[in-house]
Amino acid sequence: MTRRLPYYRVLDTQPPRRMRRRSRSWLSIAFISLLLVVMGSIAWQTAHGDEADETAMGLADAKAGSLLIATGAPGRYIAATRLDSEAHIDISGMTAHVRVKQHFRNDSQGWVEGIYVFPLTDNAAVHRMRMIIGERIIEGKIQERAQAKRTYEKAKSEGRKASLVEQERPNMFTNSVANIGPGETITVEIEYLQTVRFDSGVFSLRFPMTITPRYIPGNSTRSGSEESVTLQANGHGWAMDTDQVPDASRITPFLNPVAATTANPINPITLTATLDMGMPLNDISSAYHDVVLKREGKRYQLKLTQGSVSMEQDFVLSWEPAAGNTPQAAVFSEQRAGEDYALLMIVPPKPASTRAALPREMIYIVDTSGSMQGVSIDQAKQSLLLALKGLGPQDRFNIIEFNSTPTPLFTRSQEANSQNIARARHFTEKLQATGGTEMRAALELAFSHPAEESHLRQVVFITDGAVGNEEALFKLIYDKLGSGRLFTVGIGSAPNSHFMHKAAQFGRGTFTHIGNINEVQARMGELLAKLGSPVVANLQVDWPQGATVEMYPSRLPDLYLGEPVVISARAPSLQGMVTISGNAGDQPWQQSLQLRGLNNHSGIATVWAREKIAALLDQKTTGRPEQDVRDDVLKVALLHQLVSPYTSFIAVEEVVSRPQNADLATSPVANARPKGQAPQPFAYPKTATGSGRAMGFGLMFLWLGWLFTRVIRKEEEHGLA
Amino acid sequence: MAWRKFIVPFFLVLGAWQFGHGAWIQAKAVLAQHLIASAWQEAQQHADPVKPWPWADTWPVARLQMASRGVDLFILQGADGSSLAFGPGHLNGSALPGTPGFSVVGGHRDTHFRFLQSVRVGDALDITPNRRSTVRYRVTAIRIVDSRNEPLLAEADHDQLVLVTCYPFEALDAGGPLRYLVFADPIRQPSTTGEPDHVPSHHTL
Repeated sequence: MTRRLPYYRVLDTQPPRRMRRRSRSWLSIAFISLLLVVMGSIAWQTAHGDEADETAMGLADAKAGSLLIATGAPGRYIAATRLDSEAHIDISGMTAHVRVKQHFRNDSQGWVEGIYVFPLTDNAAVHRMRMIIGERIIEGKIQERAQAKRTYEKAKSEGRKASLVEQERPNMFTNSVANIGPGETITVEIEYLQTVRFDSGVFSLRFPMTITPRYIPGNSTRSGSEESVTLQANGHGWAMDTDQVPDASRITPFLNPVAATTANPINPITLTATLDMGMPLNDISSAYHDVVLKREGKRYQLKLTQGSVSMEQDFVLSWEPAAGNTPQAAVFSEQRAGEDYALLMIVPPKPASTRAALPREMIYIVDTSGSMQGVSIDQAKQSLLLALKGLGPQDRFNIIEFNSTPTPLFTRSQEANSQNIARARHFTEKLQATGGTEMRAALELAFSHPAEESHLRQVVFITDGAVGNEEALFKLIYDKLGSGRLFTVGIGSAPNSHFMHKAAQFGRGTFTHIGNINEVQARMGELLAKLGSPVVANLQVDWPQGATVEMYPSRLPDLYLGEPVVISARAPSLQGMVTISGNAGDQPWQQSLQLRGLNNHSGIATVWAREKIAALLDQKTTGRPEQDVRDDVLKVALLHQLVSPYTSFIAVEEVVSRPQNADLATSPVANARPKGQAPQPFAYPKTATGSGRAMGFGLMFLWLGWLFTRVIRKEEEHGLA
Repeated sequence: MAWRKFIVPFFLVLGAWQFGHGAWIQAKAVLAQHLIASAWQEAQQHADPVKPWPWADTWPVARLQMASRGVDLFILQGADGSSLAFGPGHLNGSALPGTPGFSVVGGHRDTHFRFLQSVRVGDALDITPNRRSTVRYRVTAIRIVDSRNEPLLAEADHDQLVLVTCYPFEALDAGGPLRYLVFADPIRQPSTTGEPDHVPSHHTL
């Protein structure tokens, strides 16, 4: 039953005198109710305003990255698991076979589960894993990811030693090792294959060492108020999972708060390599580490001068064939399970054009976020200053710097005249690194003006790629870039190479790495030469007649100056001649290659499978539903025994080693801080309770209750009267 | 009329519930520190940290005292909501307060860290890590930052403690983006003696 106010109570300016007191009470109730509504809506707005804030916010303002030690009994600080690594890189032809041993040592008095989030090269095909406990070796098996996780959790709770290797990103993996006894060491050996890069006559290979802390955009998805937070983060990282990065807690391993020194190495690694290209080599060099080189005929052996180093900077090895030996084409093949696999590499001629080059519109996007602090921002500035020198008078350009928000130099691209370039130099010189890494906004700004027909748009993106939402950004580039091209310049001691590589791939450009201020000149010089030269385009492959070939990449991209054609192929039988044709600039070009060379190169099938998985995962970006992609990836990964986003390696020891009454503590391994870069950011704790508001509202409600009591009592009095 | 019967109890119950909820948060914050104090005493005799109550998922790791403000608080393990309800919390991954490195301690602006609004640059505060000697700190800077724009980073290359709380202190709403940071540097070299086996100097993971 609702009761309406009698009209006279609202409308009559002069109600009967008897009524006046009552109406005053009603008025005050109406006023209070109005107040309540207003306050309620303010509260609602602030709550929702906060949500908007959090969407824009970075380093997960959320609750602190919680690392409660997972023992049932009173927890205690335990020395973090010590990690020692060994790596051996065996390079032969276009592929490298890398064996990494991770020794997890438990120095504490209790039982420990070690968790190590580690980087690998972004085209690593992880095909073998073994757990070594003293003399005992347990071979790992590939299982579907969820199943592997269940196997691991079961073994862990039963007290068996177990190791689980999962893929978080193509270049980031997690190794969990359960039930390491007091004083014990468990070794996990991981083997992977990769192709080496060949560009402008130089071969190179990168062995990543640590992870630059990723920026995590989005809104924390962890439920619960400050009062009752459930400690169920997916992983053990410093960030909480967010709507934009649902696995944030798995990809944000803590950094060791202490910087590495020679006397106090952090996560020491010994690294050795053998190099067998079947030809004499020149200029074998390691960009960031001192190495000792030994030659035995055409075979080279290499080790670190220091023996072992902290894992604080990526190891990069490059080598050149001796003069006159530069390969023009190569085929490596392998037979596996009745099928032929091949890896082809062909160097096209230098693209040339008789026509005048189209004027260009250059958009430089430079990352000035917090993770660029230290050596990175200097490298970025120098790179940008050099890039400005490459502008011609017919070109147009703009610079967008971004951290939490993007800031353009000009509202839209301007002529590259001396006055504008002077302004750009001034703008660049005063750049400082601080704040979040909101790449989306920066890219959207860069793409906001459509490219002009008269100019070729080239976007140069200078960043460390330290973001957790890579896939969303690839999709943005794929959807919005239009006719332009995007080039990435990876900066710093431990850049996210997966981001550099894929962003450039979806941007139909190419990528460059700069890890040291001394490299800026050479690397940027190469990039500018690529930007200024015509491309090798319209590439086509003609396989021998009748062959049903599955090749990756399935469509050959345009190639920039110095880049070779690289193809992974599989067919029931690969014999005869393959012909590759295209336009090098405006010169038609064609080259044939004899398939099935003499070599039977182990690992070519694995490389093909890894390329296929990468191509399938790319389909998520181009719009195929994840479930379909997953089904296809699973088939390849299970058949070829590879780690993928949907398959993991699991090894479990049969015997139970941890007594049932002993507790197990989880101890994540901290990564070393990338050399010269800023230390790890911390998530701000949430440092206010809702008590003030709750008490305020409580008092207001109590007061309202009291008001109503009075009103009702008065009405009743009047009613009685 | 029917609604009159219910309107008063409705507001009274709602009011009591809301007020009680808020008061409970405040009471818990005060009461817990007393329970923690006895756990702390006990922990001085044991190698292992002692939980203040059996179902607690946190335990005291250090004591924070500021004689000039009458402050005596126990810092708990973890700066998560489940710890901060009972005391200031040490942020995992940062150095343990009173040990070398960059330490972060968070506390609620409307309970334990309300006193930060009266702290001034130059003030002294004492930190006593579990089973170690007291380290005196001097407040070197106070800053208000927007957590959306500015990551919490170790800025100094020397040992540093930063106390974090929400800002503004009197805001009605919890969960705003602003943070009030109090930076302090140790006056003496932080102690590295003690039992590194149980309290490693830089690993708190």
